[in-house]
Amino acid sequence: MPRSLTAFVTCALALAACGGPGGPPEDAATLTIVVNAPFSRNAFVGEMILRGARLAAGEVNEAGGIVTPTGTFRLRLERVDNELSPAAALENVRAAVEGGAAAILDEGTGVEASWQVAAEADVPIGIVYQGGIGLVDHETRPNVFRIAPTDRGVAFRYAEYLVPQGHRVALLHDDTGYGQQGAEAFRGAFSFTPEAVAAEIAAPAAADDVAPQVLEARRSEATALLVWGQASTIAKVVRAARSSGWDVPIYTPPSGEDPLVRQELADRPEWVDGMTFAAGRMTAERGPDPFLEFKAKYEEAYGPDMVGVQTPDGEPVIQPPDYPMYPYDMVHVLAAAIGAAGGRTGPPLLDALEQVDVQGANGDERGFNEKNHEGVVDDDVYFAVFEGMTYRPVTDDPLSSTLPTIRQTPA
Amino acid sequence: MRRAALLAGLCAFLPAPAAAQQVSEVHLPTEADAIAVAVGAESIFFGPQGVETVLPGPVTDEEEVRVGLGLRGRVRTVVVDQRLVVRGLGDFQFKVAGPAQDVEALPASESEPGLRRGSVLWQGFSGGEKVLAARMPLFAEQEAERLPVAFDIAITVDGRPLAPGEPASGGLEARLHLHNVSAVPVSVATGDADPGDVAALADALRAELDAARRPVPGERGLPETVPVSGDPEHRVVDVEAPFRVAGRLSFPAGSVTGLRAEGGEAGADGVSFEVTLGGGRPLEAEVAILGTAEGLTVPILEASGEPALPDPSVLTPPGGGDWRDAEVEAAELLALASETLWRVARLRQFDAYLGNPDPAGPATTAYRFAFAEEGRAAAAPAPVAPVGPASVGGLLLLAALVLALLLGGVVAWSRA
Repeated sequence: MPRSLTAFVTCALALAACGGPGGPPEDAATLTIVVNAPFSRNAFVGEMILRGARLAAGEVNEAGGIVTPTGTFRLRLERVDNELSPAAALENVRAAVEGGAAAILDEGTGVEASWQVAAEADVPIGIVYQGGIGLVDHETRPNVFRIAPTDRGVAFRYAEYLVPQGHRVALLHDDTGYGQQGAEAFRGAFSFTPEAVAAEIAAPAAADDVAPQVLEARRSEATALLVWGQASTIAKVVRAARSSGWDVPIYTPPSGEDPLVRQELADRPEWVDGMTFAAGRMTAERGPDPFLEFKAKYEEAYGPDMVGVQTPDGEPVIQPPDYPMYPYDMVHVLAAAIGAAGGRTGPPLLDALEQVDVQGANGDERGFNEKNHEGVVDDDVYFAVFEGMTYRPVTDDPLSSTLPTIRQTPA
Repeated sequence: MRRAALLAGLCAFLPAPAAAQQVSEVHLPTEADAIAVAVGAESIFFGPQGVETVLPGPVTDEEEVRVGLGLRGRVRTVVVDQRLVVRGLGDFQFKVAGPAQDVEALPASESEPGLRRGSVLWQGFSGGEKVLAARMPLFAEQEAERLPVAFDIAITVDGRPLAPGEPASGGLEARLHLHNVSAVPVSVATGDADPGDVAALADALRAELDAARRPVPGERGLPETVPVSGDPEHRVVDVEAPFRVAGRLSFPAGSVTGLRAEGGEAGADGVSFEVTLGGGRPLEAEVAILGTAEGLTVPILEASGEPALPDPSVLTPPGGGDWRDAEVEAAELLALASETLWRVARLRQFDAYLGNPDPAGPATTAYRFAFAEEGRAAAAPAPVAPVGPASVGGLLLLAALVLALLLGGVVAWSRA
């Protein structure tokens, strides 16, 4: 047995999404989806991916499995830790392929290297967190799909939002893959309006103090600060800016809503107020009901995700399960495609993934097509602003202004 | 197949027989009726349930259909540039049925299109106005069936077809035959109507055509229905969408002298033509060109087309004047008025070639016809293979086959 496969089997925690009385028949075949996410280095992201996927797989199995003319199939999830390391992520994918996985649900780390390993075995990779521009390309990486807001979409939406307001934006990004991919997307989106860019500054994610970089941004006479990095980087930048008396409006990508940001700044909640982040919208035009239904199912299964901070009234803050929507939707799309492919994996499954749609957790249609392997359109990126440790959609953006505020405290 | 499907669709449009009633209403056709009976590729690919369409407001559709023709007029390539402007605040989601071979966003587009089984997918959010623009190569063989006009072209020099890459000299004869092929069978309702009602309808209809306006039942004096005694009578007739084509066949400078043309206007180096096919005019037209060629190579065809109104003269009473002053055979005149309105209604199909997701939204389509490079290549004679090892091998093989046949023949003869 290859070393990598041994490691995979040793580390993997089998998570057969169990079926109840309505589950698939005893003789149903099992298809394995490997969940490759940062369980040790970023537990919030890893767990939310796993939870969303497990909820969907459970629903599929509970409904009788995937029934096809050639038989019935049940889904089984296996969890592997990518440690936020491209090398570990690649090893995990190798092991998954050797272990006969039908598909890989991936946070995104290491896909630059791992997609090819999966492609050689015609195994689809479904990215559900990272939005890097180059990660998904239907022509050069035909086995890679994504349901998550793209960095390109976030950056273009920021350009669309900030430039008309007359802002000069300083980008401060960290040196993680997430930060670097964000910087690349920022350059593309703001290349049409270079006068709106005050500075582009890199900061090491491992640095304890980012005050020098914040000072550089301030000296650029920026009127807005876009911080693209891990949650810990964002918290450090906010602390450095506010403690120095710089009240510049701060904007972030989706990592800004990571509970870690608020936890790190829990001693100065007023510094969080006014911070704006961009993310995929939780509710579709048809209203909040689909998302609230998903939220109820999620919280019934796992309990609410507590942020660990309080509102000014002393109420505990709950994190809405917006990012778990994406692995949840990805598993449902995979299940639909497996059904359309008659239970076959490999090339038939890859083909079928371009042909099926499902209704996503927020009511949006989710699916891919022959020209696009992105399941979240750029237009679906909205902006939310913090106030009292909870957030609400901004009112000065056309899309955001149509969205309701999702309750973030106990009912 | 197309005709059968259309006839089946038309049954839904027919007024229900009113056996117990003395008076029935004949509904005059509108664009909506024409859309309802058009065969959509969407239904072919996705079945009768269609595809969900979500629009926040009205949509404007502008299309350019570029048709590449072979030297004999066969459709070789069809590429459509479509620009949709979605207005309103909210989500949009729809499919343009195509079927498209491929799709790419045009620079003006504010969203990226998708493609699934030939349908082009658009999905996103409009903050008030959103431009969606895409270029779509279509399947030429299928579009040849759907385009409103067909070309049949013959260009010869001294009786031999002109071929790409082979300059020719001698007597030039060129013939462009244009044929409106948009007709589909339509059930036209008529009946025993009041002559005064029908005369008023015909006069109002002609007034609209005279004013170069598209007549619409229920607007500007045109009724939506016409009462008839007893049950309506139905006649199935082929109804085309009238279509205007204007263009020019240009010869390389100095390569043709003594140009003469019938059906077109000859200039120094080419012949211009403009024809309207259908709508009371002939469905076919021919441009015949004669001249003397000297080193003639493939000419350039540039033609544009657009849907056209029926000729108002189709609704002129035999003695001129107005119908209200004429002797009217009510059932015949009502049938003629209905047919004319069907021709107008059918223009919508070609206003929006690929279709506007907003059925009531404005749509315009410009059609361009030209010789395709691919068509030129396809029309070229097969190149003569140079003599080399491969051809020598082929000759040896052929010789072996001939020898084998001869030997076989000898054996067969010997056993006879």
